[in-house]
Amino acid sequence: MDVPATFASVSDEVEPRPGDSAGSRPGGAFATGALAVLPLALGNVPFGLAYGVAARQAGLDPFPAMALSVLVFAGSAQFIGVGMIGAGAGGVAVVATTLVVNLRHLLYGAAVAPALRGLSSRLRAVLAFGLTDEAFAVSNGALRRGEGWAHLAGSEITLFAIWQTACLAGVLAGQAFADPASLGFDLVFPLAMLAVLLASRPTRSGWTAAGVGAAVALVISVAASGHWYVIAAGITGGLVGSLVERRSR
Amino acid sequence: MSALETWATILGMALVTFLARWPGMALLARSLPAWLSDFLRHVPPAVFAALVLPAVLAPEGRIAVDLRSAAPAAAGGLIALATRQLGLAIAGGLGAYWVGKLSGQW
Repeated sequence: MDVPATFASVSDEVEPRPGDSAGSRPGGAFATGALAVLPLALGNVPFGLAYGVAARQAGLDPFPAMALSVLVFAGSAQFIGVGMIGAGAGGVAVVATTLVVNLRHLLYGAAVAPALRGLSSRLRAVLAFGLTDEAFAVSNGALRRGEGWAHLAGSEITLFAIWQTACLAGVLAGQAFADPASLGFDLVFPLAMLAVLLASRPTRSGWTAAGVGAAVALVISVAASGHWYVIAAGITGGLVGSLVERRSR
Repeated sequence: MSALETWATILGMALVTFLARWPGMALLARSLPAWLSDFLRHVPPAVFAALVLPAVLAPEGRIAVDLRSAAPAAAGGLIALATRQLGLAIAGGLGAYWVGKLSGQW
């Protein structure tokens, strides 16, 4: 896959396991992506279960609860959505909140787009549908290294399959599953984000972007409620990081 | 919420989620100006850091060093630096959590 030099990554991707090929064979890249996301996907299982429980508690029947999970496929938005529905919020408020919660995905799409040049618009739309935090986190580096779109397809499909299975189990089994936070599973997502950041060995400007992003996120999330802090941090950190890099050229 | 409003809400959520994910991918697949591609390359580390720090340092909405999240983060972070393996880092962080929980730290 021909990736122009200007799109070379600021950092490497998480180290591939022995035996994985970084080749351009779609089958190889798909499997690499699937394996890369597996720890995150399994770590999310308790949350899928909890979503199922929460959706039933909010008064949703099994079919709408699963339809929501399949059509939206965004963990945080799913939880917030059913929470609001259960609390009696109106549909407009739920949809508006969903948009704000998922706005950061705009940045993800833009970040991976250069590696997906030449793909049909239909394929890009399908890949866009499944673009979650987790798939982006594990596949972004690989895509920038020229691994191929199949890596993203592998991570997205694997995450989708495992997530939906967990949600279904939660929807059907109801109260049988305990609160994930009591087992520490609320830490899986921040642990994974930290691991992806550290394992990718950012450059100096990459570290600057991370530092600025973290500071902005901390300040905004403490000062204000809501989910703006992620996209604000992404934009601010991205700008400062690119300026630092420019200055050091 | 009536069944009709429920379904309208679900479809609305699906639509706005797709509308957040798709434009970046679809419209920016052609050549980008250098400043924009530089910016986009620096977004992932900023976003990953943004998704970590509030959860670790301000889980309740105010800044407080909470050992329950700080210790697993430190353990997972060190393992990530050393091994560059995502699965090991998550497992190590969770392991630190359970060690602390079982020994009554939190």
